Amino acid sequence: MTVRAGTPTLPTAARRPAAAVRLLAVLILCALLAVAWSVRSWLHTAAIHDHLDRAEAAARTGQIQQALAEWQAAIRLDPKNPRIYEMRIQFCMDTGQWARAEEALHALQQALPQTAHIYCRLAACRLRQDDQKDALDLAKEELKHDPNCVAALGLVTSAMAMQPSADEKLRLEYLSRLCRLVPNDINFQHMYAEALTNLYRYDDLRPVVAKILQLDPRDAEAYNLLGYADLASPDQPAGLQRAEQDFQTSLALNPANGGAHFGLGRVALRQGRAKEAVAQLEEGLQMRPEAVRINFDLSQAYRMAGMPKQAEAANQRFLQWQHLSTETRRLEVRCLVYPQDPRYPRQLGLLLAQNGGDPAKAAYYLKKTLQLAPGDPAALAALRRLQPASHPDSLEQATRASATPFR
Amino acid sequence: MALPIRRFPFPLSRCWLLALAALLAGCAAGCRHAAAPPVSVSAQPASAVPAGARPLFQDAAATAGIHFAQKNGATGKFYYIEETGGGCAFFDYDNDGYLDVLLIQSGPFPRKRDDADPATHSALYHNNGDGTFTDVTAGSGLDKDLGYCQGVAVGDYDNDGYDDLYITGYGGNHLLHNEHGSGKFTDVTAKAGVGDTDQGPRYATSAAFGDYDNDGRLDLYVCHYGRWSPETNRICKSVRGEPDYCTPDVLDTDVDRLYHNNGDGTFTDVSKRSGIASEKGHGLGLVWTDYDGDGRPDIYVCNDLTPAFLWHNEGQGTFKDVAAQAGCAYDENGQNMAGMGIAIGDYNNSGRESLFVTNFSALPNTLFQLQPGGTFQSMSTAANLAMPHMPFLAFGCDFLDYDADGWKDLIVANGHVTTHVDENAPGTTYRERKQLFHNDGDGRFTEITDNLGDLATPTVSRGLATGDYDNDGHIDVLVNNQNGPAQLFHNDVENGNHWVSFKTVGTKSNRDGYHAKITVFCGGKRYFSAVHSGSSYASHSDSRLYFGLGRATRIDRVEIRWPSGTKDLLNNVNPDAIYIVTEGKGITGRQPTGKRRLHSHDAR
Repeated sequence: MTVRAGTPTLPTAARRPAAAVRLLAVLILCALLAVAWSVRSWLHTAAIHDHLDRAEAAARTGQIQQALAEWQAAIRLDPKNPRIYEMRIQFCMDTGQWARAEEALHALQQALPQTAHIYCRLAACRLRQDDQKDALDLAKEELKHDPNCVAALGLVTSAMAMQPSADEKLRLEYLSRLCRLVPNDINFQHMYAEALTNLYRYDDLRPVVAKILQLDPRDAEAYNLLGYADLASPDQPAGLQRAEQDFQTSLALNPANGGAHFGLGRVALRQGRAKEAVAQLEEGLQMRPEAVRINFDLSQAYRMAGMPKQAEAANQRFLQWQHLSTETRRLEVRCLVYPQDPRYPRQLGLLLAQNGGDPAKAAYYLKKTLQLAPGDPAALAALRRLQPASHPDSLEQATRASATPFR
Repeated sequence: MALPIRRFPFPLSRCWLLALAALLAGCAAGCRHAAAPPVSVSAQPASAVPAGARPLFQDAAATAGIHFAQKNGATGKFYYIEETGGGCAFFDYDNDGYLDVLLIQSGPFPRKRDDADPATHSALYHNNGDGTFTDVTAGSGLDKDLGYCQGVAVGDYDNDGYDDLYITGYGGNHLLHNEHGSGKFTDVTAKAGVGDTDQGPRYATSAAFGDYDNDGRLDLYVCHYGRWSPETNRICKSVRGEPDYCTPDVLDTDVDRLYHNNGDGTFTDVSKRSGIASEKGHGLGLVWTDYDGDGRPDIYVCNDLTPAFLWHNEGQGTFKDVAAQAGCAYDENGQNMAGMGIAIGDYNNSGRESLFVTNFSALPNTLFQLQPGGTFQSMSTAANLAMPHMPFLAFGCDFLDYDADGWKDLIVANGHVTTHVDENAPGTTYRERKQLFHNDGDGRFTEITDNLGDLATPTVSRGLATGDYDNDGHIDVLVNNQNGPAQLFHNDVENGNHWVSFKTVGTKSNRDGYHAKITVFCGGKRYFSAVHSGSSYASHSDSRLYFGLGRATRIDRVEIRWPSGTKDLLNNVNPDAIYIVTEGKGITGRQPTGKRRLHSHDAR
């Protein structure tokens, strides 16, 4: 070793304690830092947990604003934690606050854009607010990211089912895919079966019904669907006889079964057994008074049975329903074609509100009217009469009344 | 022309939404994935001609000299009127005993009236009697720009013995007087007062002559589709977002029109007075028929996605819509029909004429069987006519006994209105083949899918007319197609069955004998038909009544009941002939019959 002249040197033995001291100091410093970081971390986590606990407690007692504020505070402390967003989203969806769930989903999308299945949940929120068009678009967006997303497929098919006009080919394709993705989900099999029935695709329907009955041999509704397929079968009158058997089986499985009574009524009507048709159709209508269209068949049955007054009354009930149905469709189409014209959502909202139509749908179109024509007095009045429970002031109260534990 | 609507007979449960919400709650934790190839669905294919088989119908248009092609003038603006033209007619304008052909042109829209532009002319073809036709449009009066035309009605409104024409369209209709069979037609619209323009431009589709007050003079009913103008036209989007025609819901409905014939070459608009202006709809097809047998002609109108009308003639010049009470306003599920065309005929040889209404794709065509007492019962499913239609969108149609077996069969012209439908609807295409249904004689029909010949060629068909253009005893078919050549289907069935045909000439009744009812008694069977104006879609079929007689070689008797109340009884009528029957006089002549000289397949 060479030592430069003029540089003081320490012997090796003397230098060792100094290095050790320095190392020790560093270690202590590190330890202190670690402790400080841990303390800070613990305090941070504790603060988040504190907010989450308070949010949960507030949610349990129906203090929605408080709960949301607590989650917001937690998110501020940990903006990249997906679990916090998810909790807030879950709460909003569980308690039916679809607009707030949407806000929370958008926040999650902004903070963590790669999060999976945001679009399908946004679609669910839109659908729950009766905005079928946006729901459909969002679910389709989800399918671009994940063509086999079961939820998005379910949503798309549901939204399409409620549209005045829809791509039936695509809907059948989606439903078919759903049924292959989730072959043992009887609900999807039912959706597919009903879609096929709507399109009179009875040949395609039969294997779907067979699958439903494989999943649940006591599924009464499946026998009803089979009954309608047999009613339309080309091999009449054998088809009528099979249909009667199907409906009888359905009724045996579920006696409180309006659909089976309607089917038996139709069979009897076709076979000219007027009195039996009247009895079956009347019983069916008693069980399912919302199925107003059956008055069409009932009117014919009454006429055939020589009951002209009853026939006319049933016909009037049918015509009233048919008029409402036709007008609803006409206005729905016009709302789509003239999206900036407040006349059509106003007419549709009022028509539904004043004629016992779907209140959610009526509210949706009345709100749409107010977006296009703020302060529209007719829409406002109808909306107030229609949905006092959905007014913002009473929302928390309603939520509290129906609150269920969400975790 | 409507897009499919909900038609499950009973309200569907909305519990799917709840199930989905539950599903969505768990979605963030991971959705299920699997490979899922798309499902494929399609219409039942039809073959033109199986090997070794003789085709039932061959398109003889080109060989017969008919070279007409309808143009709907579409330029991408999706004007609603482009979807509905045009009609066609089999009628004998010169009374030479052979059916001539009229094909309705739509042409460009909008346009300035330009008589010199042949693209705007409908076409008149004279039947040469040898299976060929000559285009006689030039100088006929049809070589004028009559506007954007849709359909045609045929009737001898002035009882001069020659059938006149009423041509409908957007923005004005035209009454063309037949100048005594000379091949010239004079536009007498203004004088007659039937231009349909006094309340602004209207969108007229089908029209038909009928004598509602039995005064011996033909009145006129005109269907209106809706309130439309190019200024208010909207372009809608298909279900997949492409620009497309709107559904009828976007158009305001309109009232139809009834003109009363004053007997002096003029007409009076009696729409309000008669009561037919009390209902609005999207009118497309119509037929005059005395459905309740009270001797007063009634009117059945099918509307697009609005309830059909059955205008019951109450007498005293008034009508009342009784379609809902009579059971023919809706299809068999109680749904509005997208009614385009109407066929009328006694398909079950009951002595009563039933109605068949064509419909949109994925909605059933409807067969309304006329019951005793004047009510209708939908028999579409029972007759096997509902399901085979599903992939098709149907316009023109007619009952025709193509094999002369005594049971009226049914032909339907199809063609969609949505150009993108191939991609959007299961098993449906824009161009579609025709459908031929054989009447099995037991109340049911069987679709003929083999051996159709040129009926299997996919086209976008609208108007359809039936008639025996070569008087060979077999009913032929004329079809007007959108943006494609018209088709003249020669019936090539050779089965040795017998037949008889009658041309009615009224004296007290209207000259055409419209509404006359003929019953043929033959070999213990009874065949019934009435003379109709209208039916099918925007078209006019051969007014001569044709009866297939099967193997029967002898006709027992023929009864004719005229609208005036006169009854004629004919004995000693031989089959395989076309008779001219004059009111109160019986048979007064025969028309030429025999094998055509030029077969469609001879020229191939």
